[in-house]
Amino acid sequence: MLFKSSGLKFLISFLVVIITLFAVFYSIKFSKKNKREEVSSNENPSVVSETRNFERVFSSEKNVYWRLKSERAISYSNNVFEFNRFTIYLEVRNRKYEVGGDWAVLEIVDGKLNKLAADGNVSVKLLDENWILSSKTCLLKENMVLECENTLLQTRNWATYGNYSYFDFDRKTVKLNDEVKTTAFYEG
Amino acid sequence: MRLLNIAAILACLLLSSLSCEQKWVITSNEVTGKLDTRSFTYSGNVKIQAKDATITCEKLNGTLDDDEKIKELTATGSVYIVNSEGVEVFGEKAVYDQSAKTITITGNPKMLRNKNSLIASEIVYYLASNTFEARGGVETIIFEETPKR
Repeated sequence: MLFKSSGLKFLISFLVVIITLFAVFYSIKFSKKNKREEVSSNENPSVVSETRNFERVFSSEKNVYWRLKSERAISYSNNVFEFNRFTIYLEVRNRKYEVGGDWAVLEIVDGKLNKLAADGNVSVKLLDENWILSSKTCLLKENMVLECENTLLQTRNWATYGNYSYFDFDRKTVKLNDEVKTTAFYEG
Repeated sequence: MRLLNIAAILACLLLSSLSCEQKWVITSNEVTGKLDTRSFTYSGNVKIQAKDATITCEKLNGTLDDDEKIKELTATGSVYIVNSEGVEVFGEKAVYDQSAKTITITGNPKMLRNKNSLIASEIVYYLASNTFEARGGVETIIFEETPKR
């Protein structure tokens, strides 16, 4: 009886572990899929091409010029591109930025960067200012506002953290909210 | 999140090793920065932790100079300052003068230390010496301890 009881306990524990592992695996898989779906509404797009060491220059309206480099790029049939280890050199209203990260999905229509979802060590460097905005995950909305989570904004003398951040390329403003903390590294 | 914290700690350690001391910590609900004007606004439960004083207020506006150091700083809305000696100052507005290293508190400013209180037109806090000066229409109430028999 004792043997049967402990055997049953082991079986239940084993099943719980297996179910938990499956749940974790699918939650990770779905989180990436959801990010991709936020960029593209067209389901089941087909792969047009896959390129190693991708590099291309784009230009579009509103004085936006940008160059994109990536170790691996996949082009889909619905104007959506997927990039691994990417860097975007952006120029918006005479200010230069460098946006980089481990993974990104972009929607590009007529050279215009419509939407962007980036994940993994995302950084936005303001090249003329020595400001760096580092984040875990970011989403560029159609109004050229980059929304990020877990952001650290670093300047030469300051570092500011916020759970959420909003970087507006057009208005040249940055907003951090939720548990904002600034640390100054000099005597005020 | 953990990586960012580690990065921040490493940055602190690196900066400390370069003799840059951490001097100010500002916490709030929200901060907005404008790149063109190098200006910023903290709002909601703003708290500034300086070397010898803690300041709380509803809103904090400021601008940075070319070296990204504070040029101007204005705290508004229920301003409260307490220094390391327990002196408390209340007011509606406080302006930080970077060159003089002073904070001038206006808007019915009031100063408290233990049971003693002081009101004036403006109260100036000297950060370097950690002292206060009251100016204009100064009224002081001092409590004398009566000896127990």
